[in-house]
Parts: sequence; C-alpha cells; structure tokens
Amino acid sequence: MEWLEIFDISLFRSLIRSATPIALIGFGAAMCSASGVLNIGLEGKMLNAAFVGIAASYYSGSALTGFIWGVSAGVLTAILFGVLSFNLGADEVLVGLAINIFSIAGTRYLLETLFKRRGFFSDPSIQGIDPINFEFLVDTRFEKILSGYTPSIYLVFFLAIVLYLVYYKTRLGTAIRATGENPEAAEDAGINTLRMKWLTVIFSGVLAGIGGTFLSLENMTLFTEGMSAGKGYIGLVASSFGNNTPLGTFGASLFFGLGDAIGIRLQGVYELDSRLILMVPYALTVVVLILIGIRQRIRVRPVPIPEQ
Amino acid sequence: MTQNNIETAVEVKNITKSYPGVTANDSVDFKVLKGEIHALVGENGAGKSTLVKILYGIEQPDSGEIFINDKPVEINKVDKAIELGIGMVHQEFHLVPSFTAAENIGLGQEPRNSRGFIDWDELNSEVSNIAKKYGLDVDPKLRMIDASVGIQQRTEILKTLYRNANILILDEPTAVLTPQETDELFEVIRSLVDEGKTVIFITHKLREVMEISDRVTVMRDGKVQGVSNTKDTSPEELAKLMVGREVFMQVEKEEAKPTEKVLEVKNLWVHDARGLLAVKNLSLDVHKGEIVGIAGVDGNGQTELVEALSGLRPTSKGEVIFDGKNIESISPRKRRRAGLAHVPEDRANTGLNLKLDIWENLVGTSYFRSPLSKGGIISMKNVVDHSNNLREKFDIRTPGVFVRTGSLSGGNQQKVVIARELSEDPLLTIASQPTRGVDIGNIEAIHKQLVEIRDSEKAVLLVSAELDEVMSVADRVAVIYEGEIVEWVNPKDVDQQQMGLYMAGIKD
Repeated sequence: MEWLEIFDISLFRSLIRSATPIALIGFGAAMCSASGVLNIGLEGKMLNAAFVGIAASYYSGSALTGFIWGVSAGVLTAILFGVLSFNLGADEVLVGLAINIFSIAGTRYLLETLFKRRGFFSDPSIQGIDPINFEFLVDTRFEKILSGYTPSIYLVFFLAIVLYLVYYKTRLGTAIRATGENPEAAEDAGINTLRMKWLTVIFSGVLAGIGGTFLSLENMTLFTEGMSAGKGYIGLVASSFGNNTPLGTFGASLFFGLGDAIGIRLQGVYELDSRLILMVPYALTVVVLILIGIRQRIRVRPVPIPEQ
Repeated sequence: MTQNNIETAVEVKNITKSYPGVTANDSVDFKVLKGEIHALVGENGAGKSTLVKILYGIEQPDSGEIFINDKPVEINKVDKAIELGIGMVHQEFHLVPSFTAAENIGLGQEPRNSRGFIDWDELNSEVSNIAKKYGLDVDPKLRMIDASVGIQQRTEILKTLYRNANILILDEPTAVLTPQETDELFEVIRSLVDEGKTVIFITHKLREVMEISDRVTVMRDGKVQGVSNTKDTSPEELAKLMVGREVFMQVEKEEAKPTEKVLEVKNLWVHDARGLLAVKNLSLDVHKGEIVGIAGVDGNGQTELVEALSGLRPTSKGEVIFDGKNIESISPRKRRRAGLAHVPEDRANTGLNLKLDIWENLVGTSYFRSPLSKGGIISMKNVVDHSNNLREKFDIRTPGVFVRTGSLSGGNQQKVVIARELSEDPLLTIASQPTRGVDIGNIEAIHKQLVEIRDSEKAVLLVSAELDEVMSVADRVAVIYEGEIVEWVNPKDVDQQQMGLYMAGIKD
C-alpha cells in the first residue's frame, strides 16, 4: 500500500501545525459556549492579531513585542465584542459577524495605508517567533516528534490539560458551566454570570490573539489579506464537535489538522490541483457539521412503539 | 415555646416598591415569628413575589425597613440574603440539568482539597448527611435531567440548607406536585421547623394554608389585607380577603347532557422532543355537551397529547377522528377550520405574541378571511370592530385594542386567547392549563365560560394540573400518568386521596 507511506513523522508535524490555530480558537469558543456565549467573532479577533502582530514586529524588530501587541489586539477586539453584546445589548451573532467583516476591511486598509502593499506584506526586518529545540532530546528518537515546534504548539497541549482540570475540577469550571446551562441557578449560587461571560470572552480573545500571531509570526513570517481564512469558524465547529469540552475540542482540532496535513501531502504525491487541496479544511468542516447533525439525530432517535 | 420569649425571624416595616405604572408593595408590614410556618397568600399580582424578592435581595425597596432576627439589615443583593441565613426555593427550579444533585447543591461553595481542586467525594458525603438529617431523600449522584420533579424540589431545599439557611422561602412549592408528594413536602417542612428553621410558604391554595401553616398573611393589590392565626380563620374568609369580595369556590353547573361524539382518539402514540414516548396507546372520546377533564401531574404526556391533537406535534401511531374525519395528518389551520380550538398551556409563547397589539392577537387565526380581509388586504375597520366586540364580550380589561398584549395582566392575556379561540364558535375547545397564572376572579370567569360552551352543545377537553379545577369543572375525568390513562372517574364519586393514588400511577 503505497499511500500508507504518507503517514510518517513529517505528516504528524504538519498535522500538529495545522491543528494549533484551530485548537486555540476552539478552546476559546468552547469556554465561551460553556458560559452561554456564541462567539462568532473569533475569526476577526484572530485576523486583527495576525496583522497587529506583524506590524509591531516590523516596527520594533522584536518578535516578543509583535506577540504582545498581537495578543493585545485579540483582547481589545474581545472587549469590543463584550461591550457591544453585554453592555449595549446587541445580538451576539450580529456583533461577531460585524467584527469579522470589519476586521477584513480594517486590516486591508491598514495594509495599504501603513505599508503601501496590496494582498500581502513581508519584510526581512520582521522578526518571527523561533521554534524551541529541546537540548535533552537531541539525538534521541523523540527529537523529530517532540522537538522544534514553535511555542504556541506546546501551549496547545498544555492548555488541553489545564482546561480539562479547570473545567471539571475547579469552582471556576463549574461556575462557567452553570452560567451557560442555567444562569439563574448560577446567580442563585452567588455566581456573577456576567463576570463569567466576560472572563470567557477575554480568554477567547487572548487565545485568538495567540492564534493570530501563530499565523503571521510563527507558522510563517508574513501577513496576507484574510489570512485567518475561516479558521475562526472552523475552531467554532471544532468546539461544537467536541461538545464544548476541552479534550473534545482538542480531539476535533487534531482531526481537522489531520485532514489538512493529508491534503497537503497528497498534493505532493499525486500532483493534485492546489486549489482543490486548499478546499480540504472547508470540505471537512461541512462533513463535521453533517456529523454533528447526525449525532443530534441519533440522540433524539424515537423510541420504538411496542407491538401490541 | 412560650409567648414571652418568641423572637421574630423576619420583620418588614412600611415597605413600598413601585414599578412604572404599578405599586407592587404599598406600605407593607410583614412579620414572621421564629420557628413558625407562615403562609403568604394572595392572587397573582398581589405583591407576594415582590415582597419575597425584596427579602431575598433580588429587588430593592423604594422605602421601608427590614429586620432579620430583630436586627435592622439592608439586603442589597442575593449574597447578602444568603449570608443572613435566608434561602429561597423558586417556583421555577433553578437547577443545572446536566449537574448531579450534589453538584447543584454545592455550586459556588464546593469543598476544595489542598491543591484547590473540588473534593467531589467530600461534597457528596456532606450532601448525604444533610439529606439524612432533614429526611430529604435525594441521591447526591443523580443527574437533575433524570430526576423527578419531587426530587428536584428536594434538591432545591437542600441547596438552601447547604448554605445554612434558617429562614426558608418556598414560592408556590406544591404547584408541580401530586397530592402524595405534597404530603411528603409537608412532612419535610415540619421536620425543618422541628430543627429550628422558619418557613415562609407562598401559595394560593387555601386548603394547604389551612393544613400546614401556623399563621397567615393575606395580600391584595400590593397591600396586606390581614394577618391571623390559621386556626382562627377559614378558607372562605381568606378567599374574601384575597379577592376583595365573596367568591364562589364551587363551579355552578347542571348535569351534563352529552350527545354525539365529536372527538375520538384511538390508540394514539406520540413522541416528545427527545424521542421518548410521551403518549402511549391512549384512547378517549369527547361528546358534544360535555367537559372531559384530563388530570395528572405536569409532564405526564398532557403537553404532547394536546400538541398532537391541535396539530403542533406529529402523531407517531394511532388515529384522531374529529367530527367524523381523520385529522391526524392535516395542518393546524385546517383543524381550526374544521372547528377545533386550542387554548395552549404556554400562553406567553404559544398562545400569544406578547409584543403585538391586542387586536393583532385577537385576529391571529382569522385575519385572512372575509370580512376581516378583502382580496388579500386586511380591512382595518372590520378588524377593529371585530376586536372591540370581542373585547367587550370577553371583558378584556384594557384601555383599547391598540395596546401591547404583554402589558396586560396574566388574567387579561388569557382572556385574549380565549376570546380569539371562541370567536369562531368551535365544536371542540381544547383548554390546556387555562387558568395557570390567572387570578381567582378571572379563574371564576374562565370556568363559567367553559361551562357555557358545554351548555351550548359544544365540547370541551380540559387539561389541567390543578386537581381542584378538573374536579370541579369537568363532567368526566381521565387521570393520565406517564402517557397512559390510569383511570376514568366521575369527579363526584372520588376523593382527593384516591385521585392522588391514580395521579401517581397506582391503580386499585
């Protein structure tokens, strides 16, 4: 079986890289959904962070400064989402969509006015975030699997575990889940549900910010228009596929990453049309949405009527 | 306890609370003694809810003072009430469905181990201990989705006890219980009082006031109408204080004279939204000139049965024959045309669009027909005339029909639904919980209307979780339990106790 040969270490590494931004968005979306907030606006937060990150790195010549500014952009966009939805009472979905559309137009405008570029921006003075190489793994069999990723990738694995613990084993986790499932019960228990929602929205902004800088400063060192390319939405689907739980979302993100990685790999092997390969994540999203639909159908499968 | 060392648990002096347009509490004085069961009664809108919301810190009074255990306090938020030892069991349970009993009880105050993680075993055993102490039978590991209403209520009570509440406010706690479950609840309340707790019991069921309370406060129109020792008063006297006039507690009606069959349900099966069987092999008929009642605790398939009959939910198997024709697969609008009217249980969402004006709701089922519409265009003149006629005929208390329906009281909203449903002179009226959230004065009027329909040779199917209502209005009653009819009874020949057994699915 020749095609089985694609399942090797480099496919694994490619999978992990593809899964990272989706998982970062997915974790944020899962926490928001758990607290009862449907956060459509993560796509825009990610895009803003990607742009601001690269701009800050370009001007300062420091990857860290770029990262900090990028994450701040994600958080500021999250605050905008919160103010419009919670303080001013606008519809969450509409606010999210507005943020996404605004971010596409806003980053394009700044790209053209600040850098006089169209389409994409790349410059040697932009400092990207370097991969981490673990000295102690050098020349061991784990080196190729575990070493040499950028920081966000390690962060994703760390977050999966931390969020699992927070979600199921802390007061904060139960408070967030209660807020989403029955806000009155939470309020009764002295939980400030608005604070919980703010917390998850800001948290999702931080993660979307990290996801954005991952795209423009880690995975590559450049900005292209609309470079979030729907990952904000795919992350949302991943969290839904994973029942809004940390490990479920993580698993779903890896699944999306796998699809992406296989697509890229097959392109090399079979010389497939690259445009077809670029479609893989979106086609997978549709497949997953269908699976979610089927799962819901199975859940309400009618009990058979007994024969008389 | 002797007279001279009695302390007051709660004392409210001269509380006033206004909302735009209404004074919900008007110089209210309210006093609850330590260790007593104090009934707070009144119609909907009398101000009971506002008063307890003020006590529980959900609402702030415009003026007045509150004393807890003889000390002046300011209860500006729920946390403060909890800190003062006040606990509240709401009418609508505030439980997280996917959480277990213990997870709900401990929410926000879960015991933690040295690493800061919740100690679930410790929480489960703490809950078990409190449950045992007060005789509340609850499995700490039972998820609330799988728990009966009675267990959910006990979980709510445990929630307050877990937070060391000494003063428990129970808001209409018996509305969702069978008579047996009510008895069990009363046992629990007595054991709470034996353990030194104070209970404020809100209800509009006067029988329960007489049975459980030590003292009773009656409210009407935001004012306290009277306070007395329960043993010194009578249901009649309390009813008069509540309504402000004499109330006929019994529905006056002649013997029913049923004629031809108008509805026949044959071996009907209906699935609920979760895919479970809600109605199982149910058969019944309704004749012209009679009121058939369906009694049962909420959630035993009544909702799904009514939805299936009115066309809002597909039937899974079986036949529904209305006026000689099978209707199980025709649309709700066609069913209406055939003469089937439906007063739905959920007035606010299914029965009315509260954001629309009264006239819009009144013509919601008929606006497209002549003379209300001509050539596809609504004739405002005819619609307004029609609406005003209905408003007069059904005594809808409103300044006009161009008023938002949501601004009416519950009773008047229900009159809008009933006016619309009866405006087309239906053969059969399915009335589901027609007096839920309606004040006593209007309940009387609605009951009278149902009897009038019957006396004009039409049929009524009355579905109600209020046992007293079904028993006094219906001519024949089917008791439903878990989607099946347990027993048909003649309301004159059966007592509360027996009905309670049927409602719990126990057949002799």
